[in-house]
Amino acid sequence: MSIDVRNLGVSIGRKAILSDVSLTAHPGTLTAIVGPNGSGKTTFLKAVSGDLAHSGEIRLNGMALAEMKPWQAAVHRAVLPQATSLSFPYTVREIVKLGLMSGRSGAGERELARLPEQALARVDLDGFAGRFYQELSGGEQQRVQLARVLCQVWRPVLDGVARFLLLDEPVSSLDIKHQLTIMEIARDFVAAGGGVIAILHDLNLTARYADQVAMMHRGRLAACGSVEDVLTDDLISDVFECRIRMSTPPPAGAPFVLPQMAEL
Amino acid sequence: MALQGQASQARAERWTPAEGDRSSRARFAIGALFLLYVLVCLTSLGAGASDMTLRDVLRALISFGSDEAVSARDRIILFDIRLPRVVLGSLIGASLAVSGAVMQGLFRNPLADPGIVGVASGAGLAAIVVIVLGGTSALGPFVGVLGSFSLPLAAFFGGLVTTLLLYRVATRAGRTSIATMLLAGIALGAMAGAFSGVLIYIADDQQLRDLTFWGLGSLAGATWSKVFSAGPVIVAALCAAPFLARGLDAMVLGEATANHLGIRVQHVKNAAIVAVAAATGASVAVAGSIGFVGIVVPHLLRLTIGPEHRYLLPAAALLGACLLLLADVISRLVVAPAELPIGIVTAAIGAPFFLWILLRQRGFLDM
Repeated sequence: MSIDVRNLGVSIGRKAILSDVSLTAHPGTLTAIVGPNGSGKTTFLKAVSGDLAHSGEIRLNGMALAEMKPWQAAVHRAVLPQATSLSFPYTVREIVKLGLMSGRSGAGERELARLPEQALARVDLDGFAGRFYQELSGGEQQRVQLARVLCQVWRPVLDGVARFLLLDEPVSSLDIKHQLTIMEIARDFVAAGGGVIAILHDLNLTARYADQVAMMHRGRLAACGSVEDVLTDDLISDVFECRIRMSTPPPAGAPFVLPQMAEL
Repeated sequence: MALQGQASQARAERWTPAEGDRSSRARFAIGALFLLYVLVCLTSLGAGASDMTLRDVLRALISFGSDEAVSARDRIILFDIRLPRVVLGSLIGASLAVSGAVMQGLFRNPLADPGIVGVASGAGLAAIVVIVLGGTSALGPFVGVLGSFSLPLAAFFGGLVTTLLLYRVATRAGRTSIATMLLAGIALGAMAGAFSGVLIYIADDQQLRDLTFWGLGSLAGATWSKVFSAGPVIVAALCAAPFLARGLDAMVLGEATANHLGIRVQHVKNAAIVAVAAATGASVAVAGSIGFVGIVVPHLLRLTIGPEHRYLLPAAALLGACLLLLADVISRLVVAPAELPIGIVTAAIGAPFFLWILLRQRGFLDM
């Protein structure tokens, strides 16, 4: 059981966006994908979600993704896109309930009726069920979408099979408290036996939460391994093209804020 | 005691809708709309140049026309003139409203409507081709074989081709651009108009008379034969619509997300396009183009019962039928004993409403 990517390549027209990316995400690990803008992070996640034509092989819990029907893949993984705008006046509850469409949330029948409320409470949106999605702020909308995604794979392990969350910048438009809330959700999902692949921009959050870090650079995997192995002075300076030193406080007196120091 | 308390709490939970859950309201609305529809039907059967009381209408209907208390003249008016008109009006109203709702779901846009984006013009062009060129050697054999179905079928293919073209032009990488869609609709409509113009130019007098009602849209020519030629196509499209509801709901979040939720997006899209083309084509073939029902009805319903398609589609069918029958009654009464083409009535009501939607949604349109 895992998401297994072998020699993944994606081209748009003649231009290679991704080439030769190999990566395995096991259940019980949170894999963070980091890298500068345009390095291919989102393309990688889209290919793994089944949205893009690609070369190489992607296996989802042992099955070739290319041969899976949408409803089969929907049992094994749920996907959070970067941002979702709507043109119809759906309520928050109606949106979250869409996550139950595949019918394999894993929740019991009694639990199912109130699952949208539970999922909303989980993302700190208690009492938002009756609000209109279009009227929420960007960060709130993103958390509503996360609640929908959680509904789809409510039990991280179903019938002995681990399930995966694929998150494209889940914390990009959130304040620091909710960044931590969302990362805790991802960590709990992993602790319960599921797997998470998340694109993160914040290297501090990555350092705090990731079990495995994949660093992308110009469409290739620059490095993949534990936080200690990947977040090194040399690699970061190289990939992000500026000189950075890890774990060095700024000169005395300059203020700085780290999520590592925050408590919920 | 504790168990009992739990049970009653569970019952209360079951019966009080959760906040943001509009499904019970929607079910109630569908029931109310059904009652309204029955009332409108009876009104429409009774109203007209020759007035009939509700009692006469009911007596004649219940006895299938064998009740001698109702005059023979009234029976003929009822069964050969008004009843086919009510049936045809209901079918067309439902088809216009459901086509609008499905197309708006497909394009993820509340302004998409077969009448506005040129699908109805495409269907109309194909119908005109059959009327004007139906006797020529090229098309004659087809028209001969298909008989009264040739018109609705031609309109269906006209609508289908236009919808496919529109979708190809307006959608890039899974995103439908509203500006491109509306502009492409104008262009396609103009093209269909130009070809129609050429055909009208070469049409003879009898054909011209047949063609006149397309420009206006009317139920005046309703006969049982029209009901039976267009009815099956419309009913088939209407029956297919509920199966699209789940897919359309998911596609509201975008095609990629619908796929992630387990929906076979391409299937839903194909079925939706065929259903819209069939319903629009058949309606246009028998009644010409009747505008704005497809925009006004789904929009009003989304405001009251919410946009979830499993409720929106049946409610749209009912409200569409009601609105078209009411517009038909108005068109028969305002200038009685003559009558106004119904397309004029729906445009007079619908166009200002459309402007109101535009004003309310100016923010969205700029996307």
